[in-house]
Amino acid sequence: MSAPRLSAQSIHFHYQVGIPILENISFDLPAGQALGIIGPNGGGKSTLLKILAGLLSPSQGQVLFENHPLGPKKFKPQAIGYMPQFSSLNQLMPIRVVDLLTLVPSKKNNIDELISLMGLENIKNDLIGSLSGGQRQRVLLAWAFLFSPGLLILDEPCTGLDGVGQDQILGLINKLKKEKNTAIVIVDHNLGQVIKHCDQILCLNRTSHWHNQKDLLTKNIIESIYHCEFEHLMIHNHLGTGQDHHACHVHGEEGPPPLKEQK
Amino acid sequence: MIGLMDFIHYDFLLYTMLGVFFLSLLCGILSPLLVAKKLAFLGEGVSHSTLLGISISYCLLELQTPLGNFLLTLLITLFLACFLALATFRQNIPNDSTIGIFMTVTLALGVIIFQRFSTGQVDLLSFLFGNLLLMTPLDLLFLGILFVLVMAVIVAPIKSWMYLCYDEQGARLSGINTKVYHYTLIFLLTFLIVSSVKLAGVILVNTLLLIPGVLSYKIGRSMKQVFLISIIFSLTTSLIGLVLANYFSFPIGPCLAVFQFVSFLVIIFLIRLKRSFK
Repeated sequence: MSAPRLSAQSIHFHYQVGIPILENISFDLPAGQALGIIGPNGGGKSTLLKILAGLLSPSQGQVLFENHPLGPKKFKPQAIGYMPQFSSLNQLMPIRVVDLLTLVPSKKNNIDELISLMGLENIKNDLIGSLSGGQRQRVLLAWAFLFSPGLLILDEPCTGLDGVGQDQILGLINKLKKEKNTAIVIVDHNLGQVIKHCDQILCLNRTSHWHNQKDLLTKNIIESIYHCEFEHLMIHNHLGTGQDHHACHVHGEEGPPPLKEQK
Repeated sequence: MIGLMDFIHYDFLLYTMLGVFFLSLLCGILSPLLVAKKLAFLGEGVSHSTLLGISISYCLLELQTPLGNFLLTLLITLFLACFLALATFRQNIPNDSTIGIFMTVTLALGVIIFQRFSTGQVDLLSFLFGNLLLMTPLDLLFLGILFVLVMAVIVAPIKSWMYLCYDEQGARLSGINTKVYHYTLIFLLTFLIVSSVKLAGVILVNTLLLIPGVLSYKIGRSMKQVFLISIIFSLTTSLIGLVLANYFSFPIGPCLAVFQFVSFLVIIFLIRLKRSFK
């Protein structure tokens, strides 16, 4: 059996003050599969994404990308594609779509192919700031996929999109997964879409976590990770705001005891 | 010709004009990057700390050669800027607090050393607000060297700089060493500020580094336009400001700063007027 594209081995993380953010997270993600990371705000999803991208070092454990350890001083440039949230980009700068895709030297064929693959032909000369939410997310996805990376990390790709927009972007992500055999990690607050499109799910709320194939995910597991009623979560998702719901901390900081990983 | 001939007849004015040309060209190139990276206050911190370097080299050690004074001021300011760069690179304490403390303390130390050790040969106000008479061929040489450095380190890899300003995390993942870029920008900024202190002064040099960038982001529709507008605005307003300073015998630093700001307001007003007619 070939090595997984991405392997997290007993990841622990805490900042200098010592409060644990992540504890003992392990998973293997083969090529052509998608891992969805869900959980309430402040649950450590962004921290885990940074560790998986090699931008942060775990306090313990290691991340292997194609069997090579990953970290701030040893990541492979352009081997990992990262789709940031639009809000984290510098919106002061008037960048056109085609300029964005040529910020780093790349083969022209790649760019043309990508523009066609993502359906950006009509907007390639437009400013990114002037695009609609769905167009913008497609541009950012194209940008993350510029070097045909083996691993694609997507930070809330459906934020701010309506149902149609979400289906479009997740359809493209599925296409990349199947046609290009890319391993994909998605963080998103839309439980329904994540569960529908990902092969594995990681529910994460600080030191409580659950990870397995999506078929084994149950309502009880989600409730215990989010610390609130499943129906409440669904109402928030149904509203399609793309926002994390606010009721996750009503049971206080501690919450229920951590779930064991069910492998 | 409002004193234009003076710049041909008097060598020191010609040096000043050439100095302003290089300074405004450099500010025009760097300004959009500083504004995009939100380093305006850092520039303020570096420029204020220059006074400490000036006080130590001119008053405490009393170096007699212009080259020695320049190099020592540059070295001291670079050392202080390195500390500032370290203290502001992905730290938990807010950058504005760190820079605010740093700039006031270094300025205060500079003034104390100046007051205590000055023999009266150096005019503090000239360094604070700039002086037309201070420019020498040696200062022009430093600005020329800096221009070559900026062309090689900023203009040649301009797309990497844009990437870094647009998305720092993405830039890291694409293989850009963001730490090296951060320190490089601060090094060039320090070199520029120390080289231009005689022209624009410690207090006012930052205006020249900010207004062109702010204006260009307000009206530019692509990054190419942003850099072009910034350079053209910086060059034209600085040179006209210099001519006005000479004609009305104003101190050069304040004259450049005020003229640039007035031009900025006029351009913004005209653009809004034009839009309101559409």
